[in-house]
Amino acid sequence: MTTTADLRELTVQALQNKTGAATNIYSPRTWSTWSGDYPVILVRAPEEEGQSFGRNGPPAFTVTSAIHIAARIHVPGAESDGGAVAAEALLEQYREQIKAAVINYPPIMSQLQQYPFFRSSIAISDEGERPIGEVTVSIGMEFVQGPEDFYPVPVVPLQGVDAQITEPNGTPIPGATIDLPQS
Amino acid sequence: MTIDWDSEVLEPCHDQAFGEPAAFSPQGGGAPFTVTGIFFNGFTQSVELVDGSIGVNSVQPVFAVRASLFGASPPRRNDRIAVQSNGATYVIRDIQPDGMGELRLQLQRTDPL
Repeated sequence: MTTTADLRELTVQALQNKTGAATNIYSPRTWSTWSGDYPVILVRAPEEEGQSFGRNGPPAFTVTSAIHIAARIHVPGAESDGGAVAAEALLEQYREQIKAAVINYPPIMSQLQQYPFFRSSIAISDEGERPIGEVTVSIGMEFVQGPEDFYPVPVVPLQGVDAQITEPNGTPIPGATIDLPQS
Repeated sequence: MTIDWDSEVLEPCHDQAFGEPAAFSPQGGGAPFTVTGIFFNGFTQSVELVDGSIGVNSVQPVFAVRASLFGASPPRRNDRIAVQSNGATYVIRDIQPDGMGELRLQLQRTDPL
């Protein structure tokens, strides 16, 4: 059974030591980032969407989860807005590092039908002590969740089996009595 | 009666009360000289990135200085300031005059990480 939570954990695993942020990865995080953090990577999986197989048959879905990966960096300021140039170049490196680390990572691949999309965006701010930038890479992961993943049908467990063969009077009656579960 | 804002207000505030020295270096290699101004290095959370759900804490360095200190050569973007109290060097990324003789120099720290 594949879940979005598993894929988020595997994404964190895939990113370890594969980018400039090394092992400085948070998933999730609510505290604001600060100058002592950078470079840092934040991983979340806030959205998933399921598309039904159809009206017939048991419930089954093609599920697409969007794993959001954000890398934040800062660089020294420089004349003529040179800090923004350096930040942009560094974030472009991170974008490729993140894609290379996660897409095709075997433990994730084995749970997916495909990576249906990725989307990336870069932003740099000159507010603050140094230029700070972020690249976000949202990677789609498609898998299937079938009836075994949802509400289980209530059943009464089998407690035993008694089998006998009807024979004429005076003859042995072959049969078996099995109590379940057997210890 | 008009007030000479620079000499009556700014000069006492900057030179006698709240100011501190900093080395000002014009771009292009002009001779550095010392100016006195008020250095602010206060908290800001106005840094906006793609993912707004997790904030960004930083400080916004500003050096407020009297325009009259610079005579006919006012500070410009890309000039540098080294603040003595924290030993940090900055480049001027923006200049915001208040219209009363004071310039708020928006700074960006250039020290290597």
